[in-house]
Amino acid sequence: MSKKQPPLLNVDRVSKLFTSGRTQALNDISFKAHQGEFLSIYGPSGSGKTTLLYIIAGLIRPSKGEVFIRGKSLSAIPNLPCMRRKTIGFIFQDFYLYPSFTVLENVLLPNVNQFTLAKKWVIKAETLLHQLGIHRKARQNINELSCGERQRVCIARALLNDPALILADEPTGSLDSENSINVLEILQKINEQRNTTILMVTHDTSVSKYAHRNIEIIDGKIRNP
Amino acid sequence: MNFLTFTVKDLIRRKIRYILTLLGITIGIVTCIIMLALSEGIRDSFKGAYIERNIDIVVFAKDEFNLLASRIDNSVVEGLKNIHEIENATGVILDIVKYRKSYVPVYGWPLDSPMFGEIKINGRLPLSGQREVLIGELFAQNSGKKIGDTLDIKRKTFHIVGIFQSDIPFEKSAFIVPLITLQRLDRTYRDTVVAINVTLKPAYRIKEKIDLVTAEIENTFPEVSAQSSDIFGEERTEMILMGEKFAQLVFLITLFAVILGLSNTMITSVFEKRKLMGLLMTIGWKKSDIMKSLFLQAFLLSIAGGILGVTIGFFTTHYIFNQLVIQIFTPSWDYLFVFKVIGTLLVVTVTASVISSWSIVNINPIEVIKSE
Repeated sequence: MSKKQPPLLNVDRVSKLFTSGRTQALNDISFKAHQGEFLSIYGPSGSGKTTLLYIIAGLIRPSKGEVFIRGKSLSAIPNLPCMRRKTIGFIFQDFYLYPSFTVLENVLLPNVNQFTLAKKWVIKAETLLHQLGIHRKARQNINELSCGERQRVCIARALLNDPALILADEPTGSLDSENSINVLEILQKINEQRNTTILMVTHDTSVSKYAHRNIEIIDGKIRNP
Repeated sequence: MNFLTFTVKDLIRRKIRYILTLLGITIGIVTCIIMLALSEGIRDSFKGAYIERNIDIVVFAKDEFNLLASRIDNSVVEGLKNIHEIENATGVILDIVKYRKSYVPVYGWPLDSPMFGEIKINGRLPLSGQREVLIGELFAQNSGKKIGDTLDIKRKTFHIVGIFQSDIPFEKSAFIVPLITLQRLDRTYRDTVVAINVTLKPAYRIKEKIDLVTAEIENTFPEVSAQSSDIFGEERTEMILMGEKFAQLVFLITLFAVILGLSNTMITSVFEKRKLMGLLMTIGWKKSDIMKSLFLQAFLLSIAGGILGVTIGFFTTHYIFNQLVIQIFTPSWDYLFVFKVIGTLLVVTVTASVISSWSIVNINPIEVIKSE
C-alpha cells in the first residue's frame, strides 16, 4: 500500500438527491482510497452507504460532485460497463447467483457476453474456486451450496477479471458468525496478497477491525473524515 | 460456457413454457404453411393450366362467371379457327362429378388437343366416343384404382385405360375423357363446350395484340366473353375460396398470433429475469449484450418452431389433401414459398425480440437488484 501514488479512487464532494422522494441520500461526501487499501464504510441502515457504493460503480449518477477512478472521472468514461467489468468486482449481501447455472458458470458470468470464451477464463475460474476451497463443487448447482459457499462463489466471480477495486455490499449480512469471519478473512487475504483495494459497506461495526480505515456515514454525511 | 450456451441454458430454464411456446409457433407455422400451400396451389393451377400451356385467351359464355354453367356452341370453335391471328382453338368441358363421398373434376378434351402432350400417360389414350377414361395419378393412389378397372361417371361405367401425371394441381386427381364422349353422356353438353382455349400465332402473342384479338372475338361472337388467360386466372383465383386474399388474411392473423405469443413469452421471461439482468449490468454487461441474448433466444425459438412447423406442415398438408380424394386444389411449394416461410420467421423473430427488448431499455440495475 503506497499513499504517495495517485489514489485509485477519489470521491470528490459527491451529493445525491433522489428527486422522486426528495431525499438527500448523500451530502458532500469526499474521500480517497489508494491501491491496496481496505476501507470500511459503516453506518446505520438508510444512511446512504449502498447509494455511495453504486455511485462509485457508475451505476447511479451523483447529483453533485464527481468520482474519479485512477484519476479519470466516471462521467468521462465512454464505456462504463466495460470499465466495471475490468476494474470493479462486486460482492453482494444476497450473493445474486444464478440458480440455473453451475458454480463454475456463475463465476464465468462477467465474461460470457462474447460468443467465444477463451479457455484461460475457465482455467482462471477453476483456480479461483480452488483458492477459495470450493473447487470440488464447481460443477454443482448453486442450490446445493451453503450460504458461506455461495458467498465464496460470489467472491470468485468478483475476482475473475483481477479487478483493482472490490465493492462489497454487506458481504456478511446473510451469513452466520463463523461464515462471516471466514469471508472477512478471505477479503483480508485478497487485499494483502493481490493488493486489491476493498471498499466494504457494512452496518456491523465489529467487522471494522479487518479494514485499514473506517468511514462512518450518518444521514448521508461523513462523520469521521 | 459461452454466450450461445448461456442463452440456450437460460432459454430452456423454463421447460414447460419453452415447449408451449414452441408448440404455439409450430402450430402457427403449420397453419401458414397450409394456407400458403393452398394459395400457391390455386395460383400454380391457373398458371399451369393456361399460361404455361401457351393459352392466350379463354372464351366462355357471355358474362358467365361460373365456368361450370358456361355453354358455347361447337360452331364457335370452328369460327374462331378462321380468325387470322389464331393458331389453335380447343373447346373443352369441365365438370365435377361425385365419386363415393367426394367430388372429382372431369375434363372433356378433344383427342387431337395439344393438351394431351402436356401430360404423361401410363397406358393409352381413350378411344373417341368410347366410355374410356384417364385418371390422375393422385386419384389412382388414393382410390387404389388401376388400368383395367372401372368406375362410374354420371351413372355410366367407364373403363380406365390410362393413368396420367400432370404438373397442374387441378388435374392431379381428375378424370379426362374424350370431349365427344362427355357431350354424348350428358345432354346439357350436347354440341356445346364449356370454354374454348385459344392460342395465338407466335407473332401475335403480345399483350396489345391479345387485347385486340379478344375484342375481335367478342365482336364476332356476341354470345361469348373472351379474356386473356392471365386476367381469367386472376379473376377465378379471387373467386375460389375468395382467392389468395383469404389465404393471406388467415396467414397474417396467424402470423400476428405467433408474434404475440412469442413476444408474450419473451416479455414474461424478461420480467422474470430482471434480477439476472440487473446483476449482469452491474458486473459489466451492456444492455446491448442482453438485447442480443434476447434476440438470439427469440431467433432460436422461431427457428426451432419453424423447422418443426415446416416439417409438420408439409406432411399435414399432404395428408389432409390426400385424404380428401377430391383434389381440385392441391398444395404447391416452390422457392418463393420457402422464402415466404423464412421471411415469416424473420418477422416473428425481429418483432418478438424488439418488443421484449423494449422492456429492458429503462431497467435500472440497482433498482432491480434492490427490489428483489
